[in-house]
Amino acid sequence: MFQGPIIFGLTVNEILLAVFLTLALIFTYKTLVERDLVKAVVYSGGEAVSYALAFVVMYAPDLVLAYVAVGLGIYSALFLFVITRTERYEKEVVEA
Amino acid sequence: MSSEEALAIIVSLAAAALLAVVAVGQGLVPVASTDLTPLARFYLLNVYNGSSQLWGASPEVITSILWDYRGLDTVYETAVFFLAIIATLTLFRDAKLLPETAGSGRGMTVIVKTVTRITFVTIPIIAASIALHGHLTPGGGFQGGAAFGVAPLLLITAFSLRLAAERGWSKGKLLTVRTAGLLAIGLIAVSTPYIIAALGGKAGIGYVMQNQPKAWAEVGWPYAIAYAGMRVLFSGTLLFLNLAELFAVSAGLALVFTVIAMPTEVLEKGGGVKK
Amino acid sequence: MMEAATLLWIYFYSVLLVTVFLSLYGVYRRPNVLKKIIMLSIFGDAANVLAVLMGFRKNAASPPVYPGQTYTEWSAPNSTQLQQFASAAVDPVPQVLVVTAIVIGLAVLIFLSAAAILLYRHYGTLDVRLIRQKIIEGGVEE
Repeated sequence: MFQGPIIFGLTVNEILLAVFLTLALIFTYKTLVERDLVKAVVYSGGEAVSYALAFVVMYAPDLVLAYVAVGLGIYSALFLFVITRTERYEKEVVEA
Repeated sequence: MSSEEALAIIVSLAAAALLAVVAVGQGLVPVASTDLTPLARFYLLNVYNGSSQLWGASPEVITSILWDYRGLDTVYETAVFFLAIIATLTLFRDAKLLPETAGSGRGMTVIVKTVTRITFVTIPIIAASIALHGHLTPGGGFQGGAAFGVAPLLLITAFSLRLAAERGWSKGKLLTVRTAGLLAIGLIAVSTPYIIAALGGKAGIGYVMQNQPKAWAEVGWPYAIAYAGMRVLFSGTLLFLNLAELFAVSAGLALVFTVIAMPTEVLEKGGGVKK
Repeated sequence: MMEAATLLWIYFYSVLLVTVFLSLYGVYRRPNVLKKIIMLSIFGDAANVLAVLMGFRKNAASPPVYPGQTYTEWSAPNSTQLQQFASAAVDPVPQVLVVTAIVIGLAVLIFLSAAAILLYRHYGTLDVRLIRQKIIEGGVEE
């Protein structure tokens, strides 16, 4: 059974979960509007770390191990390799 | 921020809030639930319950479900991963990894190289630990393999692909390890019916991906062996499947990074696409 | 007046759905193919967290792993210990499905990244509007 403190009927895990999910949403927005793709990859790495922390709070240690290796290490490296082979900047959306 | 982005954000905020309120109001999703579903309760109570007929002989409920109760699903998932890597190789089918075609071999600075020398040893040890304790603690074959995949990536970026090619890496060797891992998983998957046949039992009793003996299929893998006066728990097929998955995933990721890190001209020539 | 917990869970689902919608908007509307792939990976991540959130419960205190077992020091628990374990652990089923989903997502993204490199070789750009223009003009064979 859960033993930790309860604040306004909320457990510590729930409050931390809200923080991490919000952080991930902010990183997603930064990824969306960033024109420099290298920075976008860094922001998406931050999003993966936020979700890994959310998995810690949700008692899913298997997924934490998978996410830190895959989301931060392998995805970022893969995207950076693609950027070095292709183009770095995304052009402005021209309104039709 | 353009007007279109602002509109998209406002619309998605409104739609998400509406959907969430409707889903919670209609009881479609759990809200601050304090109880388990019957299926979850079944798994939690039976996977490590020695007196249950359906036990999985492993304290790690997730690995046990992944490789035992839903084992066939995971075999196909590994096959999908294998196919994706084969498809990536097919896109660059003529790009050969030779010391002459592997780029300059300059690498990064001395500081980066020194740190990489240390981490290149520690990462595989941690990955092997994650995979080999997969049936006891959180982790498993895929998690270990994904962590292992970072080590060749570091070698390629910090040193160079040329060093790897000179040390004898080739696409063929990595593909051999990858295929051997998948083959081992396939052999373990069909092992139980063959063990029964070899022991002279009735044919057609054991089923595919069977781990522990069941009342209606009485031959399975042992879950512990006696060694030096102790009983060592290895949970039947789980340890071997985790090990095979470690080899398959780490070799597959190394293969992908080896191919993608090749110089652009080699990739261009090997891809068979006109510019 | 709703309880604070209910409001917080509505907030969880809303935030995850906003992430899903924003990433889908990125996939649909951003011109760069690599940006589309990055947003697709975020879409997958948000969907995975949504699945695990449904298996999370308020009074959980441990992951679905029976604690304190090693290779040589282990013992199958009795039914009281198992009931205690089941009353504290979270739902394992969504976590198992998400492990599978992560592997499949990785496979898809590896293939898409390789395809993006070849797309750039062929058209000289990753901007879908320019690619479309080149196809319409017929400047590219095949």
